[in-house]
Amino acid sequence: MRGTWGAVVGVVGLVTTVVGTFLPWLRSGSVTRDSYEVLALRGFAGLDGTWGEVIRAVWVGITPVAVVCVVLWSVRLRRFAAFSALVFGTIAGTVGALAAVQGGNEGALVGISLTGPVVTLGGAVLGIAGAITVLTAKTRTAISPGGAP
Amino acid sequence: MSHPGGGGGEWPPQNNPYGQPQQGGWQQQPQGNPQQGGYQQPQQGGYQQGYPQTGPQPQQQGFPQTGPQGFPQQGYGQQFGGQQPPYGQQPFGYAGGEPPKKKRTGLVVTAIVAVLALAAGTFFTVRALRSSDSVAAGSENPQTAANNLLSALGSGDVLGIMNGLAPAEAKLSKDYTEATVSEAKRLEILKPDADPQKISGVTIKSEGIKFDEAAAEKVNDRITINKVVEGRITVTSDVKQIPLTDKLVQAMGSKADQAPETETLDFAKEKADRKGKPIGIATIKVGDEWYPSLFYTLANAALEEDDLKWPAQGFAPAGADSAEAAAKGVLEKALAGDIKGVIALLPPDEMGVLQDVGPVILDKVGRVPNTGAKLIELETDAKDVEGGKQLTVRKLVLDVKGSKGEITRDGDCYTAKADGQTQRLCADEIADLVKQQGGRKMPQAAVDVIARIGAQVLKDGVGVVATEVDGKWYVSPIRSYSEIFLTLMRGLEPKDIDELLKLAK
Repeated sequence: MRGTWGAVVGVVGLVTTVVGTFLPWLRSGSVTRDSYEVLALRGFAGLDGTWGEVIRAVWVGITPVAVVCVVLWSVRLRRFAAFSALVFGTIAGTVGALAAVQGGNEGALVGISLTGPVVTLGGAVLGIAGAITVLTAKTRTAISPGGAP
Repeated sequence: MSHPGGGGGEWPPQNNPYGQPQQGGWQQQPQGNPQQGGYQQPQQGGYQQGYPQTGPQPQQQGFPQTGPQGFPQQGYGQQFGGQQPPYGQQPFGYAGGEPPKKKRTGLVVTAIVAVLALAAGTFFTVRALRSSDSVAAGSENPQTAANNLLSALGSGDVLGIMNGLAPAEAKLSKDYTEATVSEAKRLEILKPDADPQKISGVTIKSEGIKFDEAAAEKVNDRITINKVVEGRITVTSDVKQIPLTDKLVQAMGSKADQAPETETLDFAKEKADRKGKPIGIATIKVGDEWYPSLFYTLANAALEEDDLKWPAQGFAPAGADSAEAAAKGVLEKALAGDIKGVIALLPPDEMGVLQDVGPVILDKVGRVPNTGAKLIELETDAKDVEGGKQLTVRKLVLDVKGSKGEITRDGDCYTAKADGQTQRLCADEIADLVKQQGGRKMPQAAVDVIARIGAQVLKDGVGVVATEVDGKWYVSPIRSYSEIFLTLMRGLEPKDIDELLKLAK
């Protein structure tokens, strides 16, 4: 039962995290950009080479990883799903946290918008919590050859 | 984590000779427990143990399987987290001798969840890929490009403006904004947390911008001037919002407390003032996309100011095979008064505007006489800088009307030879030289500042920046100037700013 609740929390976390990546992350004047539109500006941060592409691939890979977690869970490979969710939550949560602590530049023309990072961070925390719950839930083990349960 | 008990379907009837639900699995007869209702270990893998079954064993006496059919069972036939009836208890599921009725609910739900997850994931991943792809945001036609610029301006979207600008112009701006802000922070002009990406102190707003599509001027296949006939752009600057250090704010006195200043550009009024000529926003084609261009817009304004037209044909760029050859070429052509040759050696991406407007410049400047000087030898030291290579003079030999002059650099010392005379100047001698030239009236602080800057210039050397475009090398005047400016800034120390502020009072 505990594992089921962990899974529910985990799935809510995954979905929240993915939704968070599509919410505003950067404010420039009165225009806001989601995390992927921010990635499109990676050239401004000097990341228009290989590293920029790697970062882009990892971040865009957030959604497929979330899907993989759900699919693994649905086919009952729950530990794999939980491990994947753990990796997912760690990456998304770290980025969300880093962006969130940089936020709040009210007077600036360009600044971090807190909505996206905070929602992503919250989702990642839920995802990690769910994954840990699933991994640590008491599971019934197989009956040993000796017959003991 | 628990398995949804019994929700995954039943164990299918087995057709093995023993009537057991065997899947090649381990089997054990529970010892000491009478078989009442039959506890059985379903078999999945491994060895078999216990009494061989000799007759058909109806499934209802067995242990009900809770996992989805076809899904590999783990362990010794006992599912992970599954529910297991106690020994002797009638298992859940079906009873009696009827063949089990397959329940596919779990399978269907699993399939639906997986398909929905995959569909949603694909949709959002494609969207994410598209959003993150546009490093430079060009437009498919000139008017959209100009509109995007003004739209970005109107919403104060600095990143949108930078990203929408012609790529070479945006890169120029980015490269030197960061370096300049970094130096300004080191010199304690800006606060340490000032971020070039988070410019503050300026608010830009536009409203009611309208283009006259019919009046758009197509200069050639690469350049179109879009005419703005209505609307306003308002720029509000607030000194208090600039992240200046406290000492700068104090030095500025009342100026730092002044109210925000606002300037408005009314396009309709400008059109009226310019005798019906609307302001043009120039757009250029780079690759297959159109971008607004600041340089071309300025050039267009300058041409309009003098009632001149864009030339039908510009100068073709003529790059050199190496950075050194480009620097040498520019110097030779400049000495020869060959303006066209100099313009052709400018980077076509950054300075293409000068090549496009080149014939007009040549007409206006007229014939430039040969200086009479001839380049005999040029040796340079190359250093990688942002966007290209900086070439500083190591040895320069000129022939000026039959008289030979030579400048050589050795570390931070320069030696000049001309007319049989030799003069040597090193970085540590600058202070004395300044004192000699400036006299005793010059404050010591000013002498120190000038000496430091001069020494830095001698150490770093003065040169030009060459950039590579499509395999050819060109000399970039803006990058060269910016590097010199940065060299001067690097020569300063925070205390120099204090002294300069005192002198300014």
